[in-house]
Amino acid sequence: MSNSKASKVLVTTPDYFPKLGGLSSFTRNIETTLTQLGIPYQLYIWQSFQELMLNPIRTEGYKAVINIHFLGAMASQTTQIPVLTFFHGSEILFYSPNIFKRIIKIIQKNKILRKIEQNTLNIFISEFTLNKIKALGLQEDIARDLVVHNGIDCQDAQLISKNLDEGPLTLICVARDVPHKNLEGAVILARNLFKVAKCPIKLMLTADRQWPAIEGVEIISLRRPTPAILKDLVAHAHFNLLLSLDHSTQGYFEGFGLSALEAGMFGTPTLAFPTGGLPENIHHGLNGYLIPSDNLVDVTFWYEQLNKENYEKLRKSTYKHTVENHSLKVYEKIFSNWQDLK
Amino acid sequence: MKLAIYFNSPALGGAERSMVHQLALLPTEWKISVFIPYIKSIHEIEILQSYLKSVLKPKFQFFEIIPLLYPAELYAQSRFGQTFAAPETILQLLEFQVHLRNFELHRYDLHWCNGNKIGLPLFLFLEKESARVPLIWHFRDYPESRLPYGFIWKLFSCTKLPLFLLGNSDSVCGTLHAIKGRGKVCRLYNPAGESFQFRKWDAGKAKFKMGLVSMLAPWKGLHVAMQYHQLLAREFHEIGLQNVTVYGANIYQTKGAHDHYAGSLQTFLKKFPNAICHFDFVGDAPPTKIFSEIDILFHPSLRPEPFGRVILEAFLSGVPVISFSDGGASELIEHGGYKIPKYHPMAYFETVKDIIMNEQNTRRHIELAFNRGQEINRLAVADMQNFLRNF
Repeated sequence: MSNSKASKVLVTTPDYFPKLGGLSSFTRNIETTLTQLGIPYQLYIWQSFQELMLNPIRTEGYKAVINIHFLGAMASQTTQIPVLTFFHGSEILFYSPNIFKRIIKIIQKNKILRKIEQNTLNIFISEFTLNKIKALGLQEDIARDLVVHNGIDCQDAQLISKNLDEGPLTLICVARDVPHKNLEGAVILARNLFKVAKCPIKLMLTADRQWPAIEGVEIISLRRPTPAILKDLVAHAHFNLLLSLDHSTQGYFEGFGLSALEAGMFGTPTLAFPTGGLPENIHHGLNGYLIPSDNLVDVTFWYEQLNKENYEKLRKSTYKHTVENHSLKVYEKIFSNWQDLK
Repeated sequence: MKLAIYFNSPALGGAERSMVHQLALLPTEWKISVFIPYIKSIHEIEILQSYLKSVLKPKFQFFEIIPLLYPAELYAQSRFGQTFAAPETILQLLEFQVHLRNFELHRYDLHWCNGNKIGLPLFLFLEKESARVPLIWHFRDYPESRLPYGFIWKLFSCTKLPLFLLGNSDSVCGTLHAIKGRGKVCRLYNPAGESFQFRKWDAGKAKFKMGLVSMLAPWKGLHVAMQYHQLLAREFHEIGLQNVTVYGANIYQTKGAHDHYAGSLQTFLKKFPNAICHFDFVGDAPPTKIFSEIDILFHPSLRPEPFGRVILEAFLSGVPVISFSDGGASELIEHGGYKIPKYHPMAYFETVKDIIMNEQNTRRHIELAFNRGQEINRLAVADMQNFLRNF
C-alpha cells in the first residue's frame, strides 16, 4: 500500500512550538524520533477543524502520514497511503461545551469511527482511551489498534538528590486550571497532609488565581513559568500531583498523565487519583502512590510508608521506571519496524 | 449420593480439566452422571469424553456420560451479551428448558454446574420446577453484571433453591459475596491434577523458547506479547530468545471479539515483519508436552484472571512465569512468578533478560513457585474436604 517511490512522511499536528502543551511536546518527540532514524518528514500544522474542512490535507507524494491528532486523519484526502494516527484522551469523546458543535460531532460520530477503522495503525496512549472509543462504537482490530504508553525525551533525565528532612514538603501540580484537573483537590490534599506530616507544606500550582490561607500550607501560584523554570521546580519537588477527575460525561478525562513522566525523569514520584489512564501510568509504590479519589482525608495510608529510606527507594525506582520504560525508544521501535516505513 | 454434573462446553479447556480433577476428589461411592452439551458444529466432544473416562471411570463405581442437546445459537453467544435479547436466542433458551425435562433431574441429590452457560438455563429450570435439591454453581470467571446475569443474581435473593456459589480463588469469592443473595460462597482452588515433570533450569542453553499458552481471544493478550517480541526482536535475539510458540485455539468456537483473532494476529505479524523472531502457532497440546518444550511462560492476560491454571502447571514444571495478572492469578503469581505492568515492553524484556542471565535469582523464583504450586494442590484438596463437610 505504501508509495515506494516517495521518501517523505507527512506529520500533521494542531499544536507546535512556540505554542506550549502536550500535543506540542508530543510532536517534537515524534520529530526527534524520525530524525534519529533518518526518516525525512514534512510537518503540516493546522489550526482548526474548520480550516481542515475548507483545505483538506493533500497527502499524495508521501510515503505515509502520521497524525498527531485524529482530526488530521479526518481531513486527509487519502485512501492509498498508510496512515498512523495517535489518540491521546478526551478528543475521542465526541463532546463539546458548545451545543451546536456537540450536535455536529454526534451526527458525525459514526462516519468518523468508520474513517478511524480505515487507518493502517491507530495508537492509543492508554487502554482506558481505547476502551472508551470502543464503548462509543469503534470495532477493534488488534492488528490495527495498539496501546502504546507515552514516551518522552529523556536526554536531560537526571536523578535529582532531595531529602525528606530538609525544608518544607514540596508538592507541585502542573495542570491547567480547569475543573477536571481538580486543583482544589491538590489544595485539600496539602491541607490534610499537613495535619498528618506535622511539617510545613509548600504547594505549587500552575494557576493564576488567589487561594485562601491555610495553616501550615504555603500555596504558590506559578504564573506563566518558562519551561526551564517549570522543569527545575518539578525536578526539585518531593511529589508531583495528578488528582484529575473522570469528567468523561462533560468531555474530559486524563488519557495517561504525561506530567508524571516529566516528573519521573528527575525521580519525582507522583500522587494520583486512579482515574482515566492514570492507573496505567502510576504504579503504586513504584513511581508514586494511587490515592482513592473519594478519600483525600485519609492520607496516612501512603504517608505512613514514607521515611527517609523509603522515599529514597521510591525516588530511585521512579527514575529507573521512567527512563527504562518511557523514553522515545518506544516510537523508534514502532517506526523502524513498521513495514510501511521500511 | 447421586450427583449430576453439567459441563459448560464440549471442548476440553482449562475449566473442564479443572472440573474433572475436582470430581476425582469426591467420595468413590458417589454415583456420578456427567452431562455434556452437544453442539453440532463442535467435534471435540470425543476428546473431553475420553479424558473424563480415563480419569473418572476407574475411580467411581457408577459413572455415566449423558449428552445434552444445547442449542447452537444460544451456545455461540460467548457471554450472551447484547444479542441475548434477540428473539432467536430467547426461543432457544425456552427450547432448552423443554429439553431438560427429558432427563428427570429430580432423581439427583445434587446438581453441580461448571460455568455460566449451563448455569443460567439450569438455574431457571430448577426454579421453574420448584426444586429443593441443592445447586452448586461453579463460577469459572468473575460474575458478569450485564443482562441477563444481572437479573439472575437478583433472583438469588429470593430463591428457595439451596444454592452454593463456588469460586476458584479468593478474588472470585470476594465478588461472589456481592451477588450471593441466599446462597453460600465457598472457595475451591483448582488442583493441577496431572503430574508434571519438574525440569531443572538450564541456564547454559544457547537458545530459549518462550511459550504463550491460552485460548485465542483478545483479552488473553497474545497480540500484546507479539508486539513486544516484534518490536524488540533484536534485543531478544541478543539474549538468545528467538522462538515464541503459541499453544491454543479458539476451542469454544463462540461468537464475540475473538471470532477473527487468529487471522488478526497473522495480519499484525505482516505489519511488523522481521527475520529474527519466529512465531509458531501449534494449536492445542497436552499441558505436560507444552511444559516440556518451553523455557519460559508468558501469561499476558489483559483482564483479571479468576485463577490462571497454566500458571499453576508451569510452577509445577519448573518453568518461570511472567504475567500481568491481577485477580485470582495474582494469588499464584505473587509467590514465585514475575509480575510486570501491562503495556511495558521494556519491563518485559528486562524481566526475560533477568531470567536468562541471573541464574541464582531464577532458581530461587522457580523453587518458590514450585512450593506454591504444591501448596495450591494441597489447598485444593483441603477446600474440597471443607466444602463437603459444610455441605
